Amino acid sequence: MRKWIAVTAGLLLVGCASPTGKDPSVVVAPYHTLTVSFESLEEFLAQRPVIATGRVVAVNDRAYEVPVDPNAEGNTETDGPEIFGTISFKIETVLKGDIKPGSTLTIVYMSGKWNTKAKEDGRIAYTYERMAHLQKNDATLKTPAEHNDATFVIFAAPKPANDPVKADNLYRALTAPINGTGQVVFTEPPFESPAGAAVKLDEIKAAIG
Amino acid sequence: MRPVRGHIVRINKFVAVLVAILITATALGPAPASAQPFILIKMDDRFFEFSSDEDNYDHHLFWNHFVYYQNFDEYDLRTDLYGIEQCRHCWGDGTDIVWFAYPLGTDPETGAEIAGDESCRKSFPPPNQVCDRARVRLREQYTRQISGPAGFMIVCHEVGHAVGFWHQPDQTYQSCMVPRVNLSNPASNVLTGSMIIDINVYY
Repeated sequence: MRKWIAVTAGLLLVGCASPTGKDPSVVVAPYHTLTVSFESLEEFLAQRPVIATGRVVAVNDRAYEVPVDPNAEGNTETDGPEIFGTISFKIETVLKGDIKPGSTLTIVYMSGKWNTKAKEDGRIAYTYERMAHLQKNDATLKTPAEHNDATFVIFAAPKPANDPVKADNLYRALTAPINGTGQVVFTEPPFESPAGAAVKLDEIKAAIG
Repeated sequence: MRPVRGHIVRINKFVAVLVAILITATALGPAPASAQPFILIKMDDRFFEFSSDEDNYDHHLFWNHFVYYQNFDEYDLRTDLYGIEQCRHCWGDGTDIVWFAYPLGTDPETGAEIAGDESCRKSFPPPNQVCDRARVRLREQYTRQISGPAGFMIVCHEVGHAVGFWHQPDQTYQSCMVPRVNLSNPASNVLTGSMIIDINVYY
């Protein structure tokens, strides 16, 4: 009987744990951005000063917190800080830009927001369609091991001067995995792409020139 | 036979307890992040409070696809949503949707110009899983300052997100929820009939 009680108690603990296994006060919500589409792949590539291939070597979906301006449009006095995550890639090949193979390129993105300044009020974790290959359903980032050595193309630019995160040497980037047939698969290509969301890596190299 | 029967009774009890635990855990757990085009994590009911620092004419113009307005009833198929303006520039924690025109710049990830964005800025904690305050920002250059199909498409798109729609890849451009906007050849600037039915069924 004691054995059954112990087993049942154990199952009860497991069963009632949050599916994320982490903070129970997280609400996952999509962050939607509507952009004006580039007319062509070439036009998009021209806007990215750094283009390289690399593998994910480190992730942190809560690397920085930045307080919001309570007086800015849409904010209130009680609004909590915005949260930013980072993903680091070890660069393998450089297609464009001032970066070296073997170096690490770290990109930053807004990963969520605390509801209020009191953290017990919970937080929102953002998911992005364009980051579907990097995020899990609970908005946490896939670990390097979970990427199974996948290679990504990183279309990056140094973060702008007005970026909320003030740390140095960070980039903003769109990333897309390269599949087994050498195609770069965009979740949501930012350019008009009648042929679909996959572009051959060789086509990207040729378009860069 | 008695020890065997005793074991069976105990195993049945254990299975019953296990099933009860699993059902309870499933019911208490947060809803999964769905990939469905219409996710139901936003407003609580069909009466929603909105706030902005824009004027009433803009409200009627921009919300016309979504809410019933007695004097601005230009469309045949309407949603059952009722938008209630709190007051000008006085959004609070309980406001369902705050929207405003904003000088949105370029998307730092792609370098493309941002036409609009929508995000949840405050939430009810689980198990409710409801966004308590959505923020819609519209690039003023494409909405207020230039009228026409592209501007309306952007407004329809962002408010569509706020009421629960995700992007719907659609090469026929029949709804405003396509992933990107082409300013010279914009997609439809209205919801489809099935999308309006989706809203009316849910809210």
